[in-house]
Amino acid sequence: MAAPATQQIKIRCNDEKEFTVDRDVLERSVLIKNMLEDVTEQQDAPIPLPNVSGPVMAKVLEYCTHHRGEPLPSADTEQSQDETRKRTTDISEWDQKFITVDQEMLFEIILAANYLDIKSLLDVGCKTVANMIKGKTPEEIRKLFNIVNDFTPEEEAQIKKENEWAEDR
Amino acid sequence: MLSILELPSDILSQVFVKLDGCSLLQCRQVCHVFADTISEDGTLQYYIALYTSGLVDDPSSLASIPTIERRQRLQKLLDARSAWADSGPASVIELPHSGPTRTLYWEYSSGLLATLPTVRSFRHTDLLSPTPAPSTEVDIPLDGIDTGTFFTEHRIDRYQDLLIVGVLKTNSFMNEDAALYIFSLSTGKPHPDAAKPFIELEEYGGNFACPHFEIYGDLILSSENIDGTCWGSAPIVYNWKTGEVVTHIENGPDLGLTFLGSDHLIGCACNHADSTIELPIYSLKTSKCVLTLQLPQMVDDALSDLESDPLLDHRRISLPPPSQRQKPFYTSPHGTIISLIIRHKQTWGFACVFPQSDILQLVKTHELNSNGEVPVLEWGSWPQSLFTFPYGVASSCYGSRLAIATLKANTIQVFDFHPRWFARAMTTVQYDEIFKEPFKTVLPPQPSQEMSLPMTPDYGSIILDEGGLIMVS
Repeated sequence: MAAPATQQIKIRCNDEKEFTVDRDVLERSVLIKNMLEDVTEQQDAPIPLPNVSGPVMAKVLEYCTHHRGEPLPSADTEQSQDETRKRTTDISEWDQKFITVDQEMLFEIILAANYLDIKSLLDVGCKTVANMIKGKTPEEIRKLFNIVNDFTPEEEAQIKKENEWAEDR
Repeated sequence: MLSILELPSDILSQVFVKLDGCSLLQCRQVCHVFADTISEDGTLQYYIALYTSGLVDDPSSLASIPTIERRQRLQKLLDARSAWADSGPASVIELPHSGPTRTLYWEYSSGLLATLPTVRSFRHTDLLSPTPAPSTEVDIPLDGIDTGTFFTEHRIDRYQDLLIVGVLKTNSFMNEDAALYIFSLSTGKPHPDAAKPFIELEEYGGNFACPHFEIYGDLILSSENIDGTCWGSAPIVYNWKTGEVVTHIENGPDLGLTFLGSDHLIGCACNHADSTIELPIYSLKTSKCVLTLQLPQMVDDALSDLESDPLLDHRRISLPPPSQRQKPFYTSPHGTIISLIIRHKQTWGFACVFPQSDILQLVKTHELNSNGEVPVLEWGSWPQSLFTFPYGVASSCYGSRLAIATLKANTIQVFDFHPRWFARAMTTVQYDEIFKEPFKTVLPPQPSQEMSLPMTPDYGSIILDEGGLIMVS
């Protein structure tokens, strides 16, 4: 059943861009892995990925290629809780460099990782966003992400009051 | 352009769950999408509740508590807290308790209660459980250390889901072994994050007493005897995950101590045999003492009134005449001063409670500044003369809160310690008839638990936690 590692798989993104990739690289994505396991016969038609664009897929493939061969995180819940527990600073040097992209690409990568079910990449993306938020004031966070303050003054005062205890420092 | 607000809320939650408590509160103020995501996520709400207790800086670093659905726990916790604030009537939970075993030590955290009913097992009970307090008894594996024991003593301490059981064993040749076992409170199993299930205290040297120890985060602070006498002890700091020694603390306490640690610092309030108290604070990075706090002289004068106290004779303890007091005299007729370290985020308070007097001192200090120094912000004495302690006092602190029970006035007072208001009385609880049923007391607030845990006579203690206050007497 297990195909040889050298097997090449074709995928097609939503902008018609196509990639031909080693199967073990693509199998970092649990979504694609499951798709491939469901297909018994060799197929020449590319796998359509309607939620991912070519440039984003190129980035995702760069990540998958670098991390190929590493054990996939198990579906075990305890394991995933351990993952959640890890501190945000735990991003490896390579991942750090890889994820240094503009905001739009960062969010695209996060969405793609979520859709393709690549846990470790999703984690790196979320950690990166968390690190961007850390230590900033609400106003700074709004500015960073171009968010409009949609609270009424009353609502704002209410939340401020709730935060008062912990905020003081 | 793709905005952060277009991310699905479950992804936003995954971002927020990696934040420290302070940033989480900041996010709540950004916009409705952020605020709603946080308020609809039970885990994040639970983190905020833990963070605002003042003890936890980075909830995302905490072990999860998987036994109960978090939202239910949170609701119970919040209910308990609001009842606490209102000082409402106690609700009583009878703890399952089998037989006449004596509870040696007990600890309570986030609704999880751990007791040591025997020397070979501990019991953990979930007080926030939707069903009435289930409890499980867990055997402590004692095969890691020397056999041939005729004397054993245990202590426990906990930090969130982490439970450390200290075991002392003495064999017939008077050799002692001490070890700290590392459990998960919620599962009762050895903690999965620990490299080894126990830490053997190699330098431990005998006084027939289990070492005192405290956990903070990854660290265990353990007082270990160094010279074989009863009092000299040298606190050693271990990392429980790796089992390795982080630092040794010099000039340790002679007569009891209280520890507190944080990410960068360890404080250790030491009651010395010469009746002084000091609080050396050590940097974990350099293992060097960065500051030593000592009690101000004012305490000496106040204690002079005690010399005519008839209870002194009763207790067969005499105060040395003033001329012979080389240093400020802090020892009470009970022989011990209760010193506590209170913490609210980066600010530490150091409180000393003096039985037989009404003195409590607080000092405010911050964490290391950029120069590697710890600035002392303020000394403060207790705002009012609130206490008289002629018959004893019990106290407990949790994060920024300090509870003090006095038997004479039949009150327990709980104080908030906070950078803004320094210390303020939060709740005063009156209790009655404490002497009528000495083993069956008391106390509010909800969901305060009455416990039928027998303790040694003549001794009461209280435990303060985020959910409320427990008293055993």
